[in-house]
Amino acid sequence: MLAARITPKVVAYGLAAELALLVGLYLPAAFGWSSRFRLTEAIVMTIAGVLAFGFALVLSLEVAAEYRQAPWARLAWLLLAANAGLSLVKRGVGSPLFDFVREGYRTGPLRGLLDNLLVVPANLCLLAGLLAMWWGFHRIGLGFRVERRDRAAMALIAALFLTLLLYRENLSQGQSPYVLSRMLQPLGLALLGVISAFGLVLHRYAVQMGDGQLARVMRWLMFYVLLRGVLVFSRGLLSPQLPLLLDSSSDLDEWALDLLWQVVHWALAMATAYRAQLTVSAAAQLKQLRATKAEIVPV
Amino acid sequence: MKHGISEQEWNDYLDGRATAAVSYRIEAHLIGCLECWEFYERLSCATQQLLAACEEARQGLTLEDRQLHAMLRGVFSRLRTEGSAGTMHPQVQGQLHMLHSVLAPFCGTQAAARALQTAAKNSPARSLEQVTLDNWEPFLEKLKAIAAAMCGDTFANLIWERGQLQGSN
Repeated sequence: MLAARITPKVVAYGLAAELALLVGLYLPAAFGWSSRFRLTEAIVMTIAGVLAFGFALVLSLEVAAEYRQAPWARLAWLLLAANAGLSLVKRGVGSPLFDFVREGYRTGPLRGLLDNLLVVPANLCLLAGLLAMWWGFHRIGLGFRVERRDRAAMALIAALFLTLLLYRENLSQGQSPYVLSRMLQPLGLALLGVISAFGLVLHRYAVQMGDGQLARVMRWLMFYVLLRGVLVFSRGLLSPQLPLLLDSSSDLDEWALDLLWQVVHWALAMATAYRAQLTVSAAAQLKQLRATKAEIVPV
Repeated sequence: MKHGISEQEWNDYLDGRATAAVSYRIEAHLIGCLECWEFYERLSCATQQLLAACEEARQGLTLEDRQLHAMLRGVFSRLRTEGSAGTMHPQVQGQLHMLHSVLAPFCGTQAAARALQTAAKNSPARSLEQVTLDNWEPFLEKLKAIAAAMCGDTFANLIWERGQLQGSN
């Protein structure tokens, strides 16, 4: 069982190591002691991204296998696994490493097309997974409710994304030679807006659950979902002169944005690791209980 | 007692519940005693006014079926709770407490309490206070299903095995 090895602590170490490496690589250039180690940064980001989504993928599949009696929860985790898988491939094709093979690849139309071909299904899987998870909890009938203020906040988030889409005419793929790319990008952004709004449902459920490992999983999922939305939205607001969703790591702002995107990758891995750890803890307690029973009543 | 007529006899006479002998005695006395006649008239008038006021109050305070139902439900609910609180089997109480302590670190304190209540509500017990040794098994089955939907099969098995009563299989 991989869940026993890929613990939240391992994921946290992975995140911390990547951030430390990236900061360590950036600071000498920031102080003017050396030029940017762009290739090394690209290698670190690519490996870490693939590793984080890889962890999320295998752990999500293990968690899904745990829900043999709960089809909605099983479906939810399978869809989250699909999201992780697609995000892993996207991380691969969007790697800054390709810039060293083909000049201008990251900002080119081909990468934009590949990106959007993966982002839309990944976002669809994520949204469907969250909906399945919500419906699964709702069907149990524990009385978890989304309050009126949550609905208002959800509507506000969705409206903000809609406004961003309507008033930002220069999406990065707006001038792409690929029609599919031009069509998929706004769709992917709209889905991201809906998903970000849905993040509040996860927050409300986590609050209503109280403490506990499951609430922690919900909070990390919410963090994963909301941080993506916040990054795209803040990019749109803070750098209005730049086309939305275009990668460029030329200055501190963009470097910080890249760093935060790396945190996003690890957030999903952290959510799945906490959920998988729940099963590991339950299995350990069950094993201990059976051992105690066997001692009391020798077979 | 005044003029040989007690207060009780006056009351019975005014309410129409006095015996024939008492009624005859009072009426015979009233013909010749002005003081008692005035006393009778005052009391009779006051009684009529009280009856009219009662009727008016009854008309004004009529409860709708819905209100009556809500009040009765509250009364029965309190009666059931009070009646059962002291009678819950100690083993059941202990098991419920233990199950809550197993559920809480995984699902959260509030979710654990809700899971126990929901399992009881959907089982023959109908409420957590009504869970007994006799309906423990179906209650535990419901709780296992909830645990499986929330945290998966391993956790559901843990709940099932921890929830087994001593002496059962």
